[in-house]
Amino acid sequence: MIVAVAGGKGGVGKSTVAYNLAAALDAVVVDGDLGMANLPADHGPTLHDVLAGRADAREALRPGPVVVLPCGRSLAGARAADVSALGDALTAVERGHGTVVVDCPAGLRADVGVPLAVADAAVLVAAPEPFALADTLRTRELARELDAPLAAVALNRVVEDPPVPTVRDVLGAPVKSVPADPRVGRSIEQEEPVVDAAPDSDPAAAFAALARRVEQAGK
Amino acid sequence: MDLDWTQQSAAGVSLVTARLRNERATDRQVRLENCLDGPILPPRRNEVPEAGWDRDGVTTVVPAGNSVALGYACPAPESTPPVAIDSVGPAGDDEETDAVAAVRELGDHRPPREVLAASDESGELDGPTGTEMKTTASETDHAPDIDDPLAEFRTRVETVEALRAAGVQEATDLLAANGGIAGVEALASSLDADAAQLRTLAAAAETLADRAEAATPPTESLRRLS
Repeated sequence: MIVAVAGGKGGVGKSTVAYNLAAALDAVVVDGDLGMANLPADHGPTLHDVLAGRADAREALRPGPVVVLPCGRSLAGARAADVSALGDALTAVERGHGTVVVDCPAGLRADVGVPLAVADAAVLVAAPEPFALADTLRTRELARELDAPLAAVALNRVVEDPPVPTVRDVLGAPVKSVPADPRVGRSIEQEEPVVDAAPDSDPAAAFAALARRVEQAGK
Repeated sequence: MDLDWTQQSAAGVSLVTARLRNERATDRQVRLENCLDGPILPPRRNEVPEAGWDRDGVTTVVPAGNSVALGYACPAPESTPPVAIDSVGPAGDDEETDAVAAVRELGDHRPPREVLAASDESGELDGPTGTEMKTTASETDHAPDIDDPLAEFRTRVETVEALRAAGVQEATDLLAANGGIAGVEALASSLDADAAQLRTLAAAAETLADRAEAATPPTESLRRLS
């Protein structure tokens, strides 16, 4: 199953949700942000190399608490990457590992569209603020146009009483709130997904619930 | 299915237009083949050819009782006819992949080329470029070549050896290239200094090589530590 984690606005926590959701699903997480990568990388081949035909997707996988297909950080790499090859790359990783979570970039360009087009399920990440919701709505429209079934909306960094019914009505999908927690914020940098680092915490329960919802939607 | 076409040639490229009319009461899928002696340059959006186009032709659906207009370029001289109907059949499903359609519709994600050129220039400041190395190799008074630390010495020795072996004409040319008789005298005195410097370098390299052979990191005890 290929799961695209998207959402119009940057900075709402798409990468954090993708990383922790991948941990909960025991999946590979792919850093699909070709221009501004977020997930950990080292010196091996990256998604840029895969999309430029210089490496196999399976060679570029980086082991860790969550297996990551990292993305390069150079503009030249981003320019050489052919995003229409992303579908094949994701399918190759899916064949080897079962479930793939793609961390999509912000915006509505082809690098969001291609993962949505090949995804079996989409998770939209929204911040509990009205302006962020408008962008999420645009991404929902894009997902609908590209036939990516919307599995759930992750309302990220919720502090108090999230507007769950409003979001559910606007976006037309089940809403899971992820409470604001510094352990979630640190999870990528320290490579400690919250479901492993703090399995009894509220955020861990939220990601587990999100993962169950995604699994149901994929069936 | 009716086909009208026009063709027009400019700068070695033929521009072909085709107009397909479907008089039937059902949608029809048509395959048009290019008859010119060259590949098709199809219409593109965001660098992706429009749906249905490939190197040899185009497959399109003409709605019932309606017409469709198409055009392409081909780097070949005109010939008659430039384009022909290959097959007509019932309109079927589109085989195109979603990813290709998404790239065409949504636009390029890539950073513009101008940004790239700027970052390349700043990158070049970090190290010497190929052209800089070439100038140091030809001008013997400059800093030594990075790739070959002995290049400067080698050039001087080779020049002097060439002077010894050369005939009158070549020797004159070499003299002129090396700053006349004064230049060659300076070259001769610097050769002695070169020899001394090279022997010092060789001795230092020898000592360092001996030390490199003798030295071993305490891997075992470090492994216990980590």
